[in-house]
Amino acid sequence: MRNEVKFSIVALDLFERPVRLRLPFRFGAATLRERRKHLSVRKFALPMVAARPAGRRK
Amino acid sequence: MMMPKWFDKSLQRSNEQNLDDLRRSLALAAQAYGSEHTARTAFGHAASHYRSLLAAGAGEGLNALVASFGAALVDRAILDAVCHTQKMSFATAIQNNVPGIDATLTPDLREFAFAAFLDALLPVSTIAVRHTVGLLDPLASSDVAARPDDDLPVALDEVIARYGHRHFKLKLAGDGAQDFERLAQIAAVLDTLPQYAVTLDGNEQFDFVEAVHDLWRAADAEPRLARLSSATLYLEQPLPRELALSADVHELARFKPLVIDESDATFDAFPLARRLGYAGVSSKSCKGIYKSLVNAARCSNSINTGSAFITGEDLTAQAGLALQQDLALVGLLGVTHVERNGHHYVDGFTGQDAPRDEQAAFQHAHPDLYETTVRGTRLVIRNGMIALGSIGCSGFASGAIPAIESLAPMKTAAVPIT
Repeated sequence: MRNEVKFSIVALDLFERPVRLRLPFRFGAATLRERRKHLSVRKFALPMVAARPAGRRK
Repeated sequence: MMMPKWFDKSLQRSNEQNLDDLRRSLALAAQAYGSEHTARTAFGHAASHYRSLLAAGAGEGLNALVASFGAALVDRAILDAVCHTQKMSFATAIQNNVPGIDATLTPDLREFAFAAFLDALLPVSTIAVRHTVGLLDPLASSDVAARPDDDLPVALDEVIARYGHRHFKLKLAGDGAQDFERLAQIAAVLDTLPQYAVTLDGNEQFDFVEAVHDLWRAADAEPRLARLSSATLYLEQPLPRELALSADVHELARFKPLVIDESDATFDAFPLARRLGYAGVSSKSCKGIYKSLVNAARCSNSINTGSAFITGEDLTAQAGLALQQDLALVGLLGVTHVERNGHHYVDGFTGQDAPRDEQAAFQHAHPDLYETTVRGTRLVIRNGMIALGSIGCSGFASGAIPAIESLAPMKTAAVPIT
């Protein structure tokens, strides 16, 4: 069964929100840490996208 | 989460530059999708911008994984909107191919019956958490030097006691001697469990194929690693992406199946990897839901190419939309265990400073997925499992949305690299 829906895109809104690490971790050679008494500084962000499609038809 | 040093591990880019690169990728995707007013299917929108966004990213020095990140998020938002307009769950929308997935980006699947494949997908009701043991993570309570100000576990033995995990993902450093000893230390903890399974993650840290061979041979000969070795399901992305899709790994794959992760940056990567000897590919919603679905289609089509499989990986997916959408994706693909550590590195919604109303809304909409205490709303893991029932709601896996007023407009993307 094929029920695809077609539409155009009216708007895309981009947001972000800071996130606090409770523990450091490491990708490859880089250690990612956040500010604590004994750690260095890193801030991270959680991205969010809201989409508003318009007009749909089969 | 926008993570530095995964999409682009180059030490020439700072962590802050990595974040700006991801923002730039999102801005490029939003601009491309938002400026095209032709009516298309959800997948049609993705397909129509795929190559131009890779090219635009390359023009600004963004590698393919970074360049794909923006479209991956935009595609999820669009599919969420479509699911809401159709009053359908993610699973129902995919089963009925509402997004219109076809072989536009995958000529190897030109003859593939997408409708039948998608219609046969059945979401699982629970999924096992595969807990990642990072290179810095303490293994025993006595090893914990600094403890965060919360009541969550830190060391591996505490994590197991709290959540009941039986699946683990072990990070490798690409240094034979260091990895060998680290694995032996981890095995000493895991071997106390009645049963367990592990996967290994090379994280692009091995410089050449023979270095991985050396580790396998050493592990096979080490009695302390006997049980861990037999419990190892696969090895993920041992080689850097610059080498991974040009080096033949058939010989290495005789030890354990090999999986591409970072190398899965484009729609044509997995078939190429298969020819080189890789058996698997990771699903990760930050790499794109449609790529996961077509790679799963390829695995189901492996009658022509031998056994192939898809795995669920994501170290940092955060409570809320990111966690739920990734769970819905892997749950629909039939994956039985998924890497999931976002709750270990960030304290639930509190770690995002989400307003109490937002936390309550997610808790109310997904009582099987979250629990709320005085410290806030957090993911629930019992006996190593996550319940997925409530993400079968209308929309893309969420009956609640983040409090918009608590979000900041995305920062303006940075100066191009080149």
